[in-house]
Amino acid sequence: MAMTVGSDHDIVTAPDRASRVVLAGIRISVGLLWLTNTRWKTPTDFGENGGGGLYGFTKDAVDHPVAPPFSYVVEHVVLPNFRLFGWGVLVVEVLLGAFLLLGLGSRFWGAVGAAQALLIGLSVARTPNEWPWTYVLMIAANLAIAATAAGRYYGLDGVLRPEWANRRTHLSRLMMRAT
Amino acid sequence: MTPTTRATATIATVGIIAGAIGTARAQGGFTNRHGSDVGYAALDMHLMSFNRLGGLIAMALGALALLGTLRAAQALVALAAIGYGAFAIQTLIGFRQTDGGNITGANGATLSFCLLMAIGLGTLTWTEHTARNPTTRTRADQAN
Repeated sequence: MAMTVGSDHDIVTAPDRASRVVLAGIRISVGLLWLTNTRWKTPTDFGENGGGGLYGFTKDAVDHPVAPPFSYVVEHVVLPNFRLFGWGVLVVEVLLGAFLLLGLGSRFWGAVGAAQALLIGLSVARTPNEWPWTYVLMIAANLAIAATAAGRYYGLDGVLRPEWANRRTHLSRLMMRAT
Repeated sequence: MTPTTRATATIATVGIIAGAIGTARAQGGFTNRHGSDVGYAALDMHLMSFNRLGGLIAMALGALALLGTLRAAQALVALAAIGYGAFAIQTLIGFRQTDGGNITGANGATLSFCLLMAIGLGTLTWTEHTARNPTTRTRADQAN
């Protein structure tokens, strides 16, 4: 059951309590997924010296191509500049874990998470012993967070949006769109 | 308690619990560079990693934030946020080094956790500050 809130020109249907709990649970689970998987992405070589770690998984895009154009980019752009790429991955995933667990900017970070999951899937989905649907589920879960603005429920978006709505700064307008 | 202070208290409590578990599970020397995971390894849930020093710092900063929330002392919460930010920077510098730099037993997940705490507490403190200080808000609004 859902309830309707807002004025006549701004009708918003808020999910019921069970739906809010489920959306918060999905957001926190996905946040923990990103946070957990930053622990083995270790600077500064990110596995390049031993051929394992993040380097090994990235190289899978070349050894077991999912999409040949993507493999070409990985082989000729990413691998030759791997440490820079490794730092980029670490920063994005560290922030994904932090922001999704906080429920801050959940629309934006859900979209970033879906894009990152897509890139991971394009790298390793055809690697032996991988289950390609894993990456479909990761993309779907992150898109669900973005589409439902899951941070509004038991997250900081829900706490801060009323405050941002009352302000006319560029930052508050930006945050209203990101949440 | 306003929604903002409730959220701040929740985040601070998470910090205290994470630090307490980290301290309890830590093994070896006080600054052992190989920290122990907070999580449930059987389900491949390896959350942040701490040694005793890292666990104690996380717990103390969480306690500082909670104290600031309960006493309505924003400066204490802001200080805790800055502390977690410094912890994140130390993690970033420390785990780049193969030997000796990682004095809190941290890993990438610890970095994410510290940023979570710093960003969460910092954002809430800033919001609370501007809500209590209409002059700041009016100037910001007028600028646009």
